Amino acid sequence: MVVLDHVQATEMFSAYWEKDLPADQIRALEEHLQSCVVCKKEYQTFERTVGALSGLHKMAAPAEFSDDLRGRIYKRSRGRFFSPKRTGARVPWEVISIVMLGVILAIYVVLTLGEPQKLHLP
Amino acid sequence: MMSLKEHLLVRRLRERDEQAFKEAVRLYQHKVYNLVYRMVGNREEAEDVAQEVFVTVLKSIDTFRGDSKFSTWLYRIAANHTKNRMKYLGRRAYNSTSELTDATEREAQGKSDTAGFKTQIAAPDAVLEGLQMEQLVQEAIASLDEEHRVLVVLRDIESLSYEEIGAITGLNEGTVKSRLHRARMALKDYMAKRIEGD
Ligand SMILES: [Zn+2]
Repeated sequence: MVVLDHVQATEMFSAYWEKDLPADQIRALEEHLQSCVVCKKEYQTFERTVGALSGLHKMAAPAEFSDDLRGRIYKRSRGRFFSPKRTGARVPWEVISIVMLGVILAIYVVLTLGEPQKLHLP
Repeated sequence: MMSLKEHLLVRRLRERDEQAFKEAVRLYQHKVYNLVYRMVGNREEAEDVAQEVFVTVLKSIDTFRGDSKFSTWLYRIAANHTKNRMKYLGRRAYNSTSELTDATEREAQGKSDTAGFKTQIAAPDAVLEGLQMEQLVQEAIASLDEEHRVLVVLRDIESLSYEEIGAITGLNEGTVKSRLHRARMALKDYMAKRIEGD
């Protein structure tokens, strides 16, 4: 049976609070807290303090945060930071190259089919 | 590791896509602001630092290698910026009375708006007590140095895992745990002094 002194007991407060202690140490600490008013009071304040931290309000960024930030970036980069706005949806390079191949093929077909006809003309 | 969504967002940020940046701000502004606010304890300072965090994200997105989550990287930038600002400000406790009164009034007003006229007159004890506790806790946080403060905020306020805190701070789990324990004990002592002193 482990018997704790004040220092050993208080060293275990965080792990005990996070339920991150082996069973025998939990037992030892709980026994100490039951018999020691000093540590019991200390732990109560500890529990209340750490508990209050997680209960703090989540502070939201001000409503104008995004606009202010955009203004800051534009001012510092003189409006050159972001890539220029693309009109409409972005067309991937793959699609552009296929379309270009189609156009080249079409020109080629028109030219090669067009040539012989010219030759037959008187 | 990054999710597909984060991966796509990062790719678009690298292309300096303004829409992607707006999306990143929309997703993370409140988390970043809350983290910074709880560390500096002042709204104006928090907004300024939080904005600088996003500016840095844009400027250094090319150096982000994707070996952690994007949010972890963002938190790391936020923590470093805040620590630097606190050093720059000479560790002044940023809990001016006006700041706290301001928050108290806003809070009381918010509650009375939903609960009706009566509660506004009655100044609900529970709300007031909660606010006093919140003020006290914020003051206690401000009494810590920046290295301890960041751990308290990441673990006890933001509820991040030890693994993530390690990735943000570059400290191993054992060091995080022992420093966090010191920080909590210091907070407890501060609270005990204040509660008994009142
Ligand atoms: Zn004891």
